[in-house]
Amino acid sequence: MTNNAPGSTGDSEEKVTTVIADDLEIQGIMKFKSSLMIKGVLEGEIISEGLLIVGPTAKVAAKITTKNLISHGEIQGDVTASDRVILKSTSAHNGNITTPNIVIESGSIFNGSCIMKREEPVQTPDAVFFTETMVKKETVSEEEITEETEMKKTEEQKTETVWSNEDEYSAPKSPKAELF
Amino acid sequence: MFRKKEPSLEVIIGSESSVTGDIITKGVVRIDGDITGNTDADWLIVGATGMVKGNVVSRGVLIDGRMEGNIKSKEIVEIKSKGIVEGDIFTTRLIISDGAIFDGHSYMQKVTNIDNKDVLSFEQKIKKSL
Repeated sequence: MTNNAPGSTGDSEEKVTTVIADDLEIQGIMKFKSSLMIKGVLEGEIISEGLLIVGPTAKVAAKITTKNLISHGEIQGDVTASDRVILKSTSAHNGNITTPNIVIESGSIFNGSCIMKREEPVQTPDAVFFTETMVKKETVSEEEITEETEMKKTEEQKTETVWSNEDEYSAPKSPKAELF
Repeated sequence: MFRKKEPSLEVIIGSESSVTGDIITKGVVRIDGDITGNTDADWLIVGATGMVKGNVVSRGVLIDGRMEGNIKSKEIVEIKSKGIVEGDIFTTRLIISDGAIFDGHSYMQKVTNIDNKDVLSFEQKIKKSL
């Protein structure tokens, strides 16, 4: 199953696992994980964690939640993409787009609001670690808190930082605790 | 030789400058500094260090800096990769490059079934009939 239609696969190198051909009309909720290309008519809702490609002949009237979206066709409805949205030159979009990255090519029609949401991922292990250190520390100064937030960012690099209260803590239990 | 008036660079606001007030011109405006006020120009270019607070009415707009306000364009609005636009955009063509930030509503005139191919074939038909 290869897609030989011109411009249908766009610039994505991923092989599209599912294709809805241009003669199909679907109503309903579609969920997929890897990739989907729509060339037909779809009405309903789309929920995915992967790549959604809307072909040039496609007409989609749906609420879309996906990771990546590449649109060559008509979309009516709100789109929430966690990675990026690319509206190609033949695309027409009526609806709101919420995404951290967007590329709109010349010729595309976009009616709707664009919200660039740049969410920082919530790291729950750090929150637990933070509360543990709060219990251990006798005094918590503001400088330590700001330094801790910086620590969270450099945590993966495992760099040793000059930490004024280093001597207060006992032997480190985990690699993360070594940084303190 | 008669030719159309080429738009000339009428207004330049340098990167170390700050302006409060409206700019009305028939030429090209280039903003590398700060401006607080509305702009009515033929073409507006906001450089990477530029910061515009106010509404813009222009035939074409190129933004590589920061823009807070609404943009009304007859032709094209282009937001380059360092551009940040907070406000609504009314235009016929819109280009947003990767990396740009656009927070606002986009209102575009919907081109109906007429696209460039149809226009070209129509012209060819007229030529043939002549």
